[in-house]
Amino acid sequence: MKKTITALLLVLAVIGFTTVTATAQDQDPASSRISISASAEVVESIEMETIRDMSFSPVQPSQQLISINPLSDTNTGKMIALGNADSQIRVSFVRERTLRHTSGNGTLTFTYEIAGNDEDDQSSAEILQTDNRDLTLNGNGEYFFWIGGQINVENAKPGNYNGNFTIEVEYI
Amino acid sequence: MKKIFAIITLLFLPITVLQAQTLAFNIEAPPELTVTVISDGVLDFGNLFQNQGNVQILLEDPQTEIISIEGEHNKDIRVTISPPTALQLDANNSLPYTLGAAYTNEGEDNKNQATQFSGNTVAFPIYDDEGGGPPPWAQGGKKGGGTPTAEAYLYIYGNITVGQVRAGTYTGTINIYVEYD
Repeated sequence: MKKTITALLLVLAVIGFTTVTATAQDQDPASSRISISASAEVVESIEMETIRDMSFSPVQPSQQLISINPLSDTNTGKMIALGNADSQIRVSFVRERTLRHTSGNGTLTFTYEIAGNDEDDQSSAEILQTDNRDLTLNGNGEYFFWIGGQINVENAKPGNYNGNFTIEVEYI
Repeated sequence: MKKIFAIITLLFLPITVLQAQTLAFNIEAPPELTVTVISDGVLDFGNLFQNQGNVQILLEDPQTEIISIEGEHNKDIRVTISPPTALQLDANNSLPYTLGAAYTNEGEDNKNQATQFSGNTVAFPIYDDEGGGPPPWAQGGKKGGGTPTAEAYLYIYGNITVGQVRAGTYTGTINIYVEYD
């Protein structure tokens, strides 16, 4: 009887061991796999292209104010924003910028006025505020700007004055 | 009476013995390797412009993906990372990707302790505390009092190159395989 029980125990032990080992191999606890994803969203960039610079006629000694009307003057600067067709854009700029005398300490303050249009038509453009969020590039991905403004030269020293104009355009 | 006792014993012994063998094996089994993404699972390079050039996610950046590996505390592990060669929009538009990866095996998620991979595969002890202090299993293993376990951490980052490609969402999959060495 003792031999019988011992043999039975051995058989059961082997069965039990074999069953668990097979399960362990199926799960392969000695290794593991996992995945992560990588992503990037590429958007078309907006480029600003300067078509022409703003120009001034020579200032006369008696002249007090120079004014360039962005809706009608041919001396306006002109720029185009180029990007995704029909995309909404935000346009912002600083209205007042300082022009510096090229050979002295004199400065002048230029007050910009900008007109914008999704068509290449200055006369039907709209005057832009310093922060505009409701503008849209046209079907060709274009938006046009005409840059004018005013400057008081009443007390200006004779000579040349230079300054920059910065306009910021971004997708909304 | 002896016969009756023997028959009863035979009826009940097998069940008892079978359970005993199962329990004994579970105690001796090494802890499984458990690999878990503890960040958001997306290595996100964000919004990029066409022709932007090289864009990097560095080890110390918050976008870096973090993966924990839990296993037997005194074993070495081998990690093999299979990155995509590029993030793809379609067959004609892709952003070449270069894998960046590092690990730390001092028992805590700490990028300052990380060692960078020199290739896509690296083997290291799952726990190698160079700073001293009590090991993570000092108060018992994490697997219900069985063999003590420890955690190592992987950091996945890298860089892509954005050329003249079409706008859109570019994706790829980074596969990570971990095994006992």
